[in-house]
Amino acid sequence: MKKFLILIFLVVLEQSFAQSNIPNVDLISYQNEKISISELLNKDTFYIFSFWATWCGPCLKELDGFNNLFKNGSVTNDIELIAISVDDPRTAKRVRPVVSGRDWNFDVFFDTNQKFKRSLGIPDIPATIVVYNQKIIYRNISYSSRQENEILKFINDYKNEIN
Amino acid sequence: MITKMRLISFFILLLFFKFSHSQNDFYGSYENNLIYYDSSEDSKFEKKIRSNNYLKLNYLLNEKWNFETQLESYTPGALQNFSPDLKKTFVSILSVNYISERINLTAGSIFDQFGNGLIFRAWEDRKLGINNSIFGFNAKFDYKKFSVNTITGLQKIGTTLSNGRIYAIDIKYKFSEKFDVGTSYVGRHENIDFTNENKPTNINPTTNLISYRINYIGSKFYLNTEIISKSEDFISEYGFISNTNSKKGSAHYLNTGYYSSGIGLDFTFRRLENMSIYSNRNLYANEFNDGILNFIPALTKQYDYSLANINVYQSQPNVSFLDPLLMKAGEIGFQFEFYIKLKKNSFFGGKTGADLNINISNFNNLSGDFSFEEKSYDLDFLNFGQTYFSEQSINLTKDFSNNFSSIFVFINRYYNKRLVEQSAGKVNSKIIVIDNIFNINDTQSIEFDIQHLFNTNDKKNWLGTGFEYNLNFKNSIFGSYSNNYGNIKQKSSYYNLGVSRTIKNGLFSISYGKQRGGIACFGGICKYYPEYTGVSGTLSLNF
Repeated sequence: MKKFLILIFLVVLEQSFAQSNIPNVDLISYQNEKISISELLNKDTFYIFSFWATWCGPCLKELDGFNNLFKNGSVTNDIELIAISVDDPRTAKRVRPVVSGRDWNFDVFFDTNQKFKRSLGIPDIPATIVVYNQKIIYRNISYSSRQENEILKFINDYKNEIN
Repeated sequence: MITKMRLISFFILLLFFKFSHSQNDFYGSYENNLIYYDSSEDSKFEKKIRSNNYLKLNYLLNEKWNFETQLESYTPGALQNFSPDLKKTFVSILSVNYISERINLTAGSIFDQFGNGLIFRAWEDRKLGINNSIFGFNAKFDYKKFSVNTITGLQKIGTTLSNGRIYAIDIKYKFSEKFDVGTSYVGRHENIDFTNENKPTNINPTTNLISYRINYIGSKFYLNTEIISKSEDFISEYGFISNTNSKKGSAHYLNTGYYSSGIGLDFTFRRLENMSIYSNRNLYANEFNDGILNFIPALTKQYDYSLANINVYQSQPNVSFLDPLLMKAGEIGFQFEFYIKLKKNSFFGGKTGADLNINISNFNNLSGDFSFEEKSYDLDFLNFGQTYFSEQSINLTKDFSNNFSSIFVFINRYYNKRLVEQSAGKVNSKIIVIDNIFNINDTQSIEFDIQHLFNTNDKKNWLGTGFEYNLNFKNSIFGSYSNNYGNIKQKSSYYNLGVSRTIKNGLFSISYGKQRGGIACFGGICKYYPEYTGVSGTLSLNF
């Protein structure tokens, strides 16, 4: 049985491909409205989804980094940052004080029971995906200092490629 | 039978995967956590290599149907201190979900939560080995300002399903986007089968929980409150379900806060009295969190640093009459947090500005008259009993330049180990952490921290350090070291060294070290892990 399962798994991996469609699940907005991913996304806009939690140090560093770049005007208008809080009910209550306390100026949504995170197969945070025209074009787990610059560079390179 | 059906369904989905014409509608993930144990303090330890594997597949059809399945494999055995029920290979998740504008229907494995999760939460946490999904039916309807969510089924416990059947409904009414009210009911029906002559007759096989909640979220202020009552049910005595002693339960929760540009405040109060509920009664307060139906995490602050995670608090929702000095009926306490952005060029912020966070928390036993002989109590509603845990901490994040930043953490902590863990001792500790990041260039960086735990009792002083060298955005080397140098009777030190690499659609890491044993918490839910020395590897892939 075990060998059979391993064989099946290897066949699947051999034909593997990256998940490209963004799953259409519901999130809760900062204003407490239920909104689906498809309602959230506009055509021809690059969306950076950053999965974070209030207790995750590297996540806060990444979002601080993005916040500085957006504030400094280093980011073009066709790029939007959406921070997805995967805080459970224990820590979700701290999201608004943290966002205000750190003076972040981007959209924050709640994925409280982690349905969006699970549907994307994200094992841990920090994790970042970039979506363009409903397709996932970039995916990264973990964070190292200044990685936000690398993500913006990837988007700019992608833009040059498609133009 | 159900296990076989799940396995067959898994392979049908796999065949879809293989022959799908529209491959973009199929996706999945694989995660492997493997440890080679060189040595372990666990005397029952048998296998040198153990691994937990998760293969998850999803198939989307016409954006309305979602088929999901997960295969789990614990070969040759699960990692230490995971539930003994997690063994071999089995299908852990299998579900069909239909979504339209107003209706959301699921048959199979259901993950969901009501309100704050205090009455019901089904979720997955692989680090803790929790997958307490309900295998059954779920229907959600939206009608005008009403939302209704109903669930019925049996709970997944290891490779099997619970004896107890779960019935649950949640109704929410939205007065506006800012203000809503809700009520929930959760029923656990399990036949009572005591063989003892003193078979109780006054307890209903169905345990009922009812909650009422109010939620307001304004542009600068929020308030959320929930009250839950639990009908009378048997309590656990010395690890066994009592057939003579039963109690009612309740929970009272209040969270409020203020937030405005550059500032945030949050305050939470919670009182718990006999609030655990399990799908099988005999799983009451089990160490693996098997069969848990609601989410009662510790509300204290969570830290990333190793020494700050010694003597962490675990929530105390249960009744316990272990000895006349160790009688508990739940917990009462609060947590307060304050966040502020210290602006650039201000007196406190200096040239580059800073972020300041202050945290205060206090959790106590319920106060009242306890009788050890009669195993009973008469509780005061709002009085605080003996302290379980209290903490004051301050966290300052400061950029000194574009290339160098630091985080300073100071924690003052009291932990009543005897009362919380039913072991010995009380801990008065102070922890200092200095965490630094230095950017060498645009892609390379070094993160290193120094930690010290001052403690005059328990295991005395600790010294610790950690580092991470990011060679680029894909590769890093990390390590840590901690030494319990103050513990003259039993000096011990722990170390770890490893590498991690971000690969296409995934992550790979491997490390070798001696890991400290003790209670570790993820998301406020805690579990005991034995000390071990060995090689640890993780692989996660998306496809």
